Amino acid sequence: MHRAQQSVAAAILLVVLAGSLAGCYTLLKHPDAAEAPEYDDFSRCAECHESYSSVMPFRSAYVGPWWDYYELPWWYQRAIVAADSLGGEVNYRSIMEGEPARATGSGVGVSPLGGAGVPEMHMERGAGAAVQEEDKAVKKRAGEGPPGDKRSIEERSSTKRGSEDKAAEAKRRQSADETKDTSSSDETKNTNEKKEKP
Amino acid sequence: MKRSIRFIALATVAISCLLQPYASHAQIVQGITLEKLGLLSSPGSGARPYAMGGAYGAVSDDAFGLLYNPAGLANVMRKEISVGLNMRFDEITNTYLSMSSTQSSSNTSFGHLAAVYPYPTHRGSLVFAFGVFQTGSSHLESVKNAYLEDISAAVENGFIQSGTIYQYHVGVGFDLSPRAAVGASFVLWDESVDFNEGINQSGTDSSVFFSDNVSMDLDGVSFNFGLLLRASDHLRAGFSVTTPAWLEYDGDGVTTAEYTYADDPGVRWVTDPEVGFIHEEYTLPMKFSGGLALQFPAVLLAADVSYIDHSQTKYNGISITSELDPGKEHVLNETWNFHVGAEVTLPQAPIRFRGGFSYVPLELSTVEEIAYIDNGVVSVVADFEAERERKFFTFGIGGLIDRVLMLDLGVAIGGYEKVTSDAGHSTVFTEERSITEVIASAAYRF
Repeated sequence: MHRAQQSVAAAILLVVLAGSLAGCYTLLKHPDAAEAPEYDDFSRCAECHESYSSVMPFRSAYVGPWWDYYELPWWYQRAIVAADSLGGEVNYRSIMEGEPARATGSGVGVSPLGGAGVPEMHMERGAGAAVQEEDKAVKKRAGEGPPGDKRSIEERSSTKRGSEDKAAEAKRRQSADETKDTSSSDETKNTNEKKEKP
Repeated sequence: MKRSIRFIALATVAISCLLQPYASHAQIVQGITLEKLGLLSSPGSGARPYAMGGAYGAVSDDAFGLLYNPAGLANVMRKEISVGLNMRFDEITNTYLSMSSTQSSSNTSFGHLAAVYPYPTHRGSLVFAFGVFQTGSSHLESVKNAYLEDISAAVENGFIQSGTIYQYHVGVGFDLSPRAAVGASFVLWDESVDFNEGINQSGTDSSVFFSDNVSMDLDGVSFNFGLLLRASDHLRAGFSVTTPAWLEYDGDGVTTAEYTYADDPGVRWVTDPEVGFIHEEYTLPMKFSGGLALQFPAVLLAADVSYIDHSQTKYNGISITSELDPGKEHVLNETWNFHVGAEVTLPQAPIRFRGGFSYVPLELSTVEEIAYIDNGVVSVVADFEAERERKFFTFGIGGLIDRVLMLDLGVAIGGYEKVTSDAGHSTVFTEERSITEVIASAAYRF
């Protein structure tokens, strides 16, 4: 009995220790603390991060449907679904053309762009290249520094996430809704416009 | 009988030693008991790890990370529920001098049930998991036949044991950095074991039948710790440590004996059932494992090595030593286990083929030759040499359905052969065992 109590205590200690250590690198809250509630809405991740691999480097070399199965975080899939609903601005598509996409969430179904599969750049250049490319993209949007760089995040927080940006973003969303069913060239324009967003 | 080969007839009831917790002089039998219970080697669980020869320490990107390397849990990005089934086929052939007997058995049991939950993060990963896994089997059926010249009697020793070792794991894995993840799991051991041993001796002037029925429950605890290093997108290294496992067996047993004398057919003597209670404590040693995984889009190569110093195994707090040979300190040896495996993914179909090989040498250096009755039950114990070390060839197939449901099948085929020789190097006793395991797993990720 004494040993059992010790074991339970050790197990609890283990979990607490693990939870506390998780903050060393793993972030449970978005680093941009000033607007944490907004950033913690995972459905909006794709507005800044085209691929979760941009903040999850060195994962694996899985491709195709296996990438979905192993690499695509379930919470980030919500971001893809949300992005798709805004007009397909995220370059996610299946590496296997014509194959049904993974059911999203509770079985929403096939997404407009062929589903949440491998990002285009991931598919072409491998995970490492994807990471670098994504980092560059995020860096460009943020102004400087890698995604985890505190300085760049703070600057983004103070200068690029102000009320003006919010208004512009709302306007852009409205525009996206209006152009949702237009030609592909319009969609490309929309995408480019968004990438210039801070 | 066979004085020249260090045979010693232990003056204890070998197979009922569990009923005599204070028989400290019978320590050597505890090593044999541990092997019979299947505690010394843990084949693991899961169709995919099995099919890859158990080389999973640097892979571990699913619920089986709990078993092979908890740090691997950090690689799980989707919620997962996993379930499995194990089937095992055994064939044991015992040969004593010229008398050979073969016993086949099969057993199907629940393999595992596990759930993995990756906590939503903005960077890195934090993954919790729970699972119950079959990590060993105590199923054993064997028959040993012998003719004992010194007492002019034929003896048949039949042993039937059932039990499945389950481990309940609660674990967590998380990223320490982009390249490093760590993990830990807390493990509870559980098993219900039943065995029956019958020894039938038929001599010229008498016959004796002895039976021993035992039921035991196993409880125990241990911890697993793991580290996973991602050297690049393609190369991973995994390390894990299993703490000593503190185990307790509690139970009871009943022995009876029935004697008949040919000289006087009317005389038949049946002993009163002897009831004993069991409380045994074992401490299994630490295990250190390391592995590498080289991963490309179409091919995954993995290799593991693990080290266990079984001589540190303790019975009731004391190391298990040999009473047969004072110069030979330990009954159990240290072992280096090697595992290699490969997984090939078809480029145009969500199907994978796997193959592997595992080398798991025998830990025990002693064998119980046969038990017979001569004014009491006597166990004959001797050393053996591994004519063929324990090896397994593995293969399997896996398929992914609609990107959410993974179905896997793994098969392991292997065995070993022990040989006991006399001083003149003539074979006295051999034990050959063939093992085939089939494991089916299904994992749903959502």
